[in-house]
Amino acid sequence: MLSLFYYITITLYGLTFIFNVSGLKRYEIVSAVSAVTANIIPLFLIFYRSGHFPGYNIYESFLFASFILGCLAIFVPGVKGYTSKIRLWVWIEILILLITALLISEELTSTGFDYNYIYKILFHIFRPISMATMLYATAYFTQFILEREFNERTSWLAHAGRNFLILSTVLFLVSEYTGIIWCQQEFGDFWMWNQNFMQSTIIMSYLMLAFHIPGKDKRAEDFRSLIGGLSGVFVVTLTIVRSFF
Amino acid sequence: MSKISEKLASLHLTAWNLVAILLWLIWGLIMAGSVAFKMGFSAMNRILIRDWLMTPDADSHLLKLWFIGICLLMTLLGVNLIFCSWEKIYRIIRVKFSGPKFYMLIVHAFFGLVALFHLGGFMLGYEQNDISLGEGMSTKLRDGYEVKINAINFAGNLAILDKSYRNIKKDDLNYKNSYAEVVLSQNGRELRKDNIYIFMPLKYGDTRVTLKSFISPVGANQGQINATTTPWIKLTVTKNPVLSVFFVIYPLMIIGIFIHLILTWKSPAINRAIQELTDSN
Repeated sequence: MLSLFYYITITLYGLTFIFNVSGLKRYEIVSAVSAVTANIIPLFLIFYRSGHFPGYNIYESFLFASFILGCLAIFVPGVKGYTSKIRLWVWIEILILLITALLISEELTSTGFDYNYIYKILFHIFRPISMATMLYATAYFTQFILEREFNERTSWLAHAGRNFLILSTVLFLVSEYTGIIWCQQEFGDFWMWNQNFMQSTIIMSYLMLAFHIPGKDKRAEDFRSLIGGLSGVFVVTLTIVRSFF
Repeated sequence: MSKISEKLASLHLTAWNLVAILLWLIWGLIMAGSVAFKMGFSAMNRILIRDWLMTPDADSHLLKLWFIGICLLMTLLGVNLIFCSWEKIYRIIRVKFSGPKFYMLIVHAFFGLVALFHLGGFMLGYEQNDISLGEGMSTKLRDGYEVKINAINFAGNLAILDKSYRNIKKDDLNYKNSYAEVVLSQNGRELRKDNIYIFMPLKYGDTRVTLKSFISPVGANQGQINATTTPWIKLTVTKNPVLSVFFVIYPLMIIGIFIHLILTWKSPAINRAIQELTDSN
């Protein structure tokens, strides 16, 4: 049942992508709304079966991140004149997330004894939301780089990318903060020297780097957008690589 | 500003330093995933970092080098932050006041404090992890402190006692009904007596006694565990004098970034440009 709805979701996002490329706007919107609606069903099934919020492994969190990304693409107005192009990147990102999750694992995590601890839940909710917002920023930055011009119109793209990247940083920090409380209460210390904590600090350092690229000319803006745009890719790659160890 | 202070305040230094921090952390990530450093990282987690640094342990040389390296890079980031902030303050006072820039300055100050208090947590106070105790047992700690376990109540499946954290499932342990009665005393004087649960440590000033897990009695093998067995517990005792401040500053930093985002969501320059485009149309 879960697999069935998972495949339906992927198919609908795939159709949305095709409609976007074909320039069939109305069909794209209908398909996108259907895809996001279908996306809710596997999330609900995970919650129903396991009793925990879907966000505890790659399969669950990528599915949840896809849902958030889909909502952002549909409901956020975006930059005038670029909405369709931004959406195109979002559909590509969602398809990559869902196909990757499928290739890595289709298993649900079994629910731990502390599944209902609120700070643990919040940590696992904010992580995928932050990842999705980062990927949304990536879409803006990618479009800005492809425009190969630096004028008032395109600078909106870079600025919107920067806005969503900061928003994703805020969300990431919220997840970190809830994680800190969780660890302090459960393990007696808010910091552990291990891969999980190191991964979080790497993501944080990367985000800091993206906000501290010097220069004001087009070249600097391009480079800033490249680093900012790669943030979503970086986080997804790091999450995938880490899942193997 | 002199040339050195200009360089110390530069964004180029920030960016290159962050690249170095990233690479250093990736090295740490690889080491943390390697079997060769498993014991080293366990030792690092067991006690306060200050004490770990002082411990003469031949196996931890590379880890200590790595830790000192990350501290030096963070110190450079701190120096860079101070010089850069000073330059910004100078500009705000002398040249032009800008709300978003002022907010950003505050956010940077909060970040500096978060990093400083994080380091404080590594260096100040006390930490002892993985103390295994059974009913009626006690352990002596630094400064005359002593922790004694009066009673242990375990509501769960005894088969999980030797399982790792990740392998304890929803129905294996009722953590809300599993607790230990703990007495914290100093030089024989009782300071506090309370039931501690997972997620509900005993607090006395900056000292916390945290119940981490329930374990098999030390020395007992699987065959000896039956329905009458009373499990032992694993405790962490910490004294972090900067913890409460850290917990206050961290959300303030997040709120600061969020306010800055709201203030700069529509960049003034872009607003002007859009206005011009609208007018020309």
